[in-house]
Amino acid sequence: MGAQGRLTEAFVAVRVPDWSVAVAMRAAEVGPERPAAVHDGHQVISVSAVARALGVQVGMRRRAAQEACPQIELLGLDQDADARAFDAVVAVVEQVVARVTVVRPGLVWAPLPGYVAPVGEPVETLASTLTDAVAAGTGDECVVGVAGSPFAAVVATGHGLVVPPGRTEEYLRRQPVGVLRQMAAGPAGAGSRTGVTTGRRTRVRRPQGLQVDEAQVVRLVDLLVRLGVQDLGALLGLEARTLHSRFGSIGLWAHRMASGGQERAVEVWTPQEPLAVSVPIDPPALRSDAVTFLAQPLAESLQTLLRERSLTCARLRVTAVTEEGGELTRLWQADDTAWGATTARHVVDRVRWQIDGWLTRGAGATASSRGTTGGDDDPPVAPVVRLEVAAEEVSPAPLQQETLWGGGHGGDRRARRVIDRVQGLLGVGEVFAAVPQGGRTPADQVRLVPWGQPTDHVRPLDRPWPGSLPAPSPATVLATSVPAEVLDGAGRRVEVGERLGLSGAPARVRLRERGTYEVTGWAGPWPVVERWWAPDGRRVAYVQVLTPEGLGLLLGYQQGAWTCEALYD
Amino acid sequence: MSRDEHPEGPRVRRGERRGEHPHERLEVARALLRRSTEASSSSRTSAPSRPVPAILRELLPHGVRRGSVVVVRGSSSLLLAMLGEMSRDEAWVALVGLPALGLQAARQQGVDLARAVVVPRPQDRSAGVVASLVDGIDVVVCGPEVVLTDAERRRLTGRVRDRQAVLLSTSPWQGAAVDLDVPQRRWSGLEAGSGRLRDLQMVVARRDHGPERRLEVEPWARRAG
Repeated sequence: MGAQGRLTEAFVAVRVPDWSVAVAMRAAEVGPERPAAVHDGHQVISVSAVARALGVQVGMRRRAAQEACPQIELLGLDQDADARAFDAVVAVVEQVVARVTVVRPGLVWAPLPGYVAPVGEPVETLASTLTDAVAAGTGDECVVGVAGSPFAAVVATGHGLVVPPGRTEEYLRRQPVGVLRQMAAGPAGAGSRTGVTTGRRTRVRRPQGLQVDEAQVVRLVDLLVRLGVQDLGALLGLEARTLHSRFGSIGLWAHRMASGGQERAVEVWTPQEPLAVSVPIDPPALRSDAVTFLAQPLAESLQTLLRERSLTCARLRVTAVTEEGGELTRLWQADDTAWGATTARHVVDRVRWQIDGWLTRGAGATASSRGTTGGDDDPPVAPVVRLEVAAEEVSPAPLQQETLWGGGHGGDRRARRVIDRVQGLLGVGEVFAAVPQGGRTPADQVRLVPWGQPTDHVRPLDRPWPGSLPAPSPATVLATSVPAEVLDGAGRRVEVGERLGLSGAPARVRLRERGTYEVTGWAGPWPVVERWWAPDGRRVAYVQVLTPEGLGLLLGYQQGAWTCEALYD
Repeated sequence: MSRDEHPEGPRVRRGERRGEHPHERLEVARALLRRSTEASSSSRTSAPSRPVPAILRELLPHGVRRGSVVVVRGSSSLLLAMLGEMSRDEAWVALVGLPALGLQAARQQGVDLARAVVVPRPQDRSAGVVASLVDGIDVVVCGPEVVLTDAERRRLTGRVRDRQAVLLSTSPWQGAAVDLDVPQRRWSGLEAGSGRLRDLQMVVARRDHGPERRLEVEPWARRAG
C-alpha cells in the first residue's frame, strides 16, 4: 500500500468519547458525577468516565456491572436518539472540514486533501479549532486524531495524537488487533437504515462493496487473539490471500485497514440545499389550467436541478398553497423510465391531476359531506397562491440507458400513467398495489399497499408459516367478517374445546343478515395461533363447512364466538 | 398487385432496379416494415383476442375478443380462473370495486399481482375511474361496488371497444359480448369432520347470443397444457 506515495493525503477523525452514555445520561437527567452505563439488553456497550474509574468495562454483563459498581445507573440503548443528537456535532465539524463521513454516532472522519507534510503548527491548529468548535457548538468534549488513513486517524483519536506523515504504517503495526472494532459501523442494525433525512442534511447511502458490522468484527478480533495474532503487525505478517480464505471478506477488510488502506463511505452525509422549486401564482388561481400553465417552467427547472447534480429522485412532492394558508400536498412516484426520474410532462400531468382531483372532491364534499377518502386532511378549496415541486428520496443517478425501443415497456408505462391518474382522482389512500406476503390466513397473505409506496416492509414470503390454511384459498375474503351462529343437529351451539374438539357436528350455520344455511359437510378445526406471546396475539380455530347449494364457508372461532371470514364461491 | 402482396420473394428483389417502379420499392419497404413490426411487438398489441382457460374453450372457442365486455356472474372462482388466463403475456389487471376478492386465490390462479392495481371503493366516481383505467389497463374488472347508470355503461362499452381493452363485470351489463353465469356448483373433498375443500365442479351457462349453452368445468383443476 502506498502510504509513502500519498504523503500529502491525510485524514482527521473526531471522536466524542462515550457518546451513547452521554446522550442517555442527558436524556435521563443523570448528573455527570454519577456512574452510568448504556446496555443493549445483553451487555454494557458504553461506560461513563466515572463508572470506568469504578471498574465497569464495555462488554460486561449487566449483572457484572452492577456487582462492580452497585450504584451504577444502567440506561437502555436508543440508537435513534444517539444519531439524532450527533447530527449537531456533525454540523459543527462540517463547518471546519468538508466531506465528513460518520462511522457511527460519536465518531466521524474527513479527508484533509490539501494537507502537506510539515508536522506541528497547521495540524495542531486544526485539532484545537475542532475541539473548540465542538465544545462551543454543542458542549461536547471531543478528541481529534490525524493520520495517513481514515482508520489510523480513528485509532489516533484514542491517543489524541497526530501521526507524522509516512509513519502511519509503523504506528498501526504497534496497535492491538482490538482497535479494528473502532472502525465497525456500530451495533448491528444501526447501519441498516437508509435515506434518513435529518434537518437540511440528506444522508445518502452510497453503494459499497463491503459493510462490516460490529458483531462480525468482534468475532474476528476474538478469533485472531486466540490464534495468537495480537497486534496489527502480526496481522500484516499474514498474507491477504490467507486471511481471505480463512475469514472471508472481513479478513480482507482487516488486512486493508491494518495496512493503512481506506474503507470509504460507511455513510456519506452530503449536505445539500433542498431540491425544490416553487413559483408564486399571482393573481391566485382556482382553475387547474391556470396552475398547470405555471407548472411547466417549474418542472423544467427542477429537472435541470437534478440533472446538474447527476441525481435522480424516487418521489415528487407537489404542494399547492392556498390563499387561506392551507397546503395541498401529494407524493407522486417519479417516472422511473425517464433519465433523472422525471420529465417536465410527467410533473405537469401530476400537478393537473392533483389540482383537478382536489377541486372535484371539494365540490363533492360540500354537496354530501362524507369524508371517507384518503384526502381527508386536504385544505378546503380556495385560490392557489403558490406551487412547489420538490424531489424526494434523492440518490445518485444510476448509469442507465434506455432500451433500444424506448424506456421501459410501453404497456407498463401506459398502465402506470393511468393508475397515477386514478390516484389523483380518488386520493392516495384509495388505490392500492397488492403485495404477497407471508401469513397463514387468506386475509393475511396479500397486503394492500397504497400505490407508489415502498413495499419492502411486508412479511417475508420464503418462510414456512406453519399452520396456514390449505389451498385452494377462498375466492372471496370478506372485508369485515360476519358474525355467525353454528348449531348442531339438536340445535345446541357448537363450541371449540380447549383441545380443539368440536362439541358437536355442525348442522346449521346462521349468518347475520345473510340467512341460515344447512351444513352438508365440514372439516377442521385448523388452529391458527399468531403472536401468542403478545397481548394482541390471536388464537383462532378455522372450520370449513359446505352448504347444499355448493357454497363453501370459512368460519373462525375466537374467544367463544363464530364469524364467517371467507366464501369458497 | 399480386407481386405487392408477396414482396418477400427473391424475384421481386432482383426485379428492383435503380429508378424502376419506385412505388413497388415503396411497397417492398412497407411490407418489410410491417413484418418486422409484427415480429417485434408482443402479442398484447397484435392479438385480436385474450386467451381464456382451456376448460372454457367449448363455450368460448376464440377466447375473448379485445374491446369487448364480458359478464361473469355467480362465482368468484370462475372470475379468477378467467383473470389468471387473461392476464398472461404481461397484461395489466385492474380490480375495481371488489373489496372482498380473494387475492391469494388470484395468485393461485396465476394472476401476477405485480401488474395489478386494486381500487376497492371507487364510490361515486366509478365511471371516471373505470374510464381512466380502460385507457391503459388491459383487463379491467368491475365488481359489486362499481355503481354505474345505464348511460354510463353504454359509454364505457364504446370506450372499451375503442381502447381494445377487456372489461369483466360481475353484474349484468347491457350489450355485453359474453355473459357467463354459474347456476350450479359442488365442492368435493369434504366429509363430516375430515378432509378439506379440494375440488370445485361447476356448471357454466353462456347466455348472450343464441340458445343457452352449458358446460361442466373445474376452475381449480390444474390447468392442463
